Amino acid sequence: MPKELKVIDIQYLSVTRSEYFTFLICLVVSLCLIFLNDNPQINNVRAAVVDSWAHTLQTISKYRSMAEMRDELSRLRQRTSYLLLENSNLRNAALENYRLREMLKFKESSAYKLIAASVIARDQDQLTRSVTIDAGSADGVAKGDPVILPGGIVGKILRAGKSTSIVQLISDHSFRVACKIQRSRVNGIFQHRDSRTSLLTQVPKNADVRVGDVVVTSGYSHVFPAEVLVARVIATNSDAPSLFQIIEVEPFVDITTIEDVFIVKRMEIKSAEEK
Amino acid sequence: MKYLSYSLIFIGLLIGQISLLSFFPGNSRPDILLLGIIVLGMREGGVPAMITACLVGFVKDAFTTSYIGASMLGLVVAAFMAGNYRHIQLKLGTQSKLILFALIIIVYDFIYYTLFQIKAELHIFDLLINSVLPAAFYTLLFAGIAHFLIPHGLLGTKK
Repeated sequence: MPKELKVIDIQYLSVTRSEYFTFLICLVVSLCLIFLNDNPQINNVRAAVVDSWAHTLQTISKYRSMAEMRDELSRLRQRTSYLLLENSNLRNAALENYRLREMLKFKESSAYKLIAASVIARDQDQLTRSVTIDAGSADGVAKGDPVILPGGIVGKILRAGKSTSIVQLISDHSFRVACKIQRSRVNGIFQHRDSRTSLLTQVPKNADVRVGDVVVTSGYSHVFPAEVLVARVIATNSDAPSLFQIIEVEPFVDITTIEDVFIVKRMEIKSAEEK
Repeated sequence: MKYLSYSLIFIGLLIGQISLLSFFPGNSRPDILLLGIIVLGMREGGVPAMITACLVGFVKDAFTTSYIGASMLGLVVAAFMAGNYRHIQLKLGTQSKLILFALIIIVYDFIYYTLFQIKAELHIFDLLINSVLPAAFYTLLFAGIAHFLIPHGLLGTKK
């Protein structure tokens, strides 16, 4: 028997009373929090915790940006031509200008009141996908507000702190939104499947869905306004032993690269749809 | 002084977990908070590790879309297990310590993802294959790298 295995003696695995007592208390606290997950007071504490970290996260975000800029600068210095560097900067400025103009145009042409915000942190787990943005209840953001980009939906506000909010992204496994095919008006439910694709579920086998069809929000969810772009159909399968088709869709918005987003004010949705 | 050092370390780990690691490419990322809790449990015992697990678990949960208390519960169990092995870990070889780390990490990931599975309506088998094992492997790999990079090892017992 190896020497190291001899020392795993049951007498060493003794747990003190204080350890058992602490374990029991911590266990009860954890379980209470899990069962009281939707309690408004718990959510307030949760929002306060996120808010308390906002300053640190914003500072880190700035330092990270500075570090990225330093890397970029050192890379550019290796280039010998000053003109090439200047040209590169001008192109970057032009692209940024174009992006900002597009966002401004979208904001002005939108029928809804939009609040602009920047991403300051990301949670990119196996299953949970969320970002923290620098706009909160002080800016008018509330829980459940839709988050969009000119290209399509991004997610919805899960929790709104005073100056920051957490956005549940469309790539989160528990995210669902009522959608329809723009061309044939067939209804379905959008949900994420894996890192590359998402699904449009609950679509009957005889429904008219083709590859390339555009998926938009149906407006039935009372969260997202109707006709907002969601995804494009990339594959359909009616052969599965089920009442429904398996429709693979690809979201229009690339969640991994988002930097700035718009929050749609829910109160405005109703009035805009009435118009 | 020792507890101040641990507090600063865990604040650093929280910032790293919430802000820096989340910008890493790919779906998986190491859970450095879990490693911190295991190391604290094995070095200082179960009680300080469980109290720390409660605090850092709550902050970590606040930033995710999962149930609040999910990470906390997993970390508390991990801290309890690590505290149990405190008495024997000094006499164990590297391989046995690696097995202990792996066991605790898998238990934590299983608890966390099982709680999330209830929310996301996923199959338990898919969850094990696609989430629990890759996440545990990645964390264990990170623990191994950290062990070799830190002069006296993660547990301060490397010769």
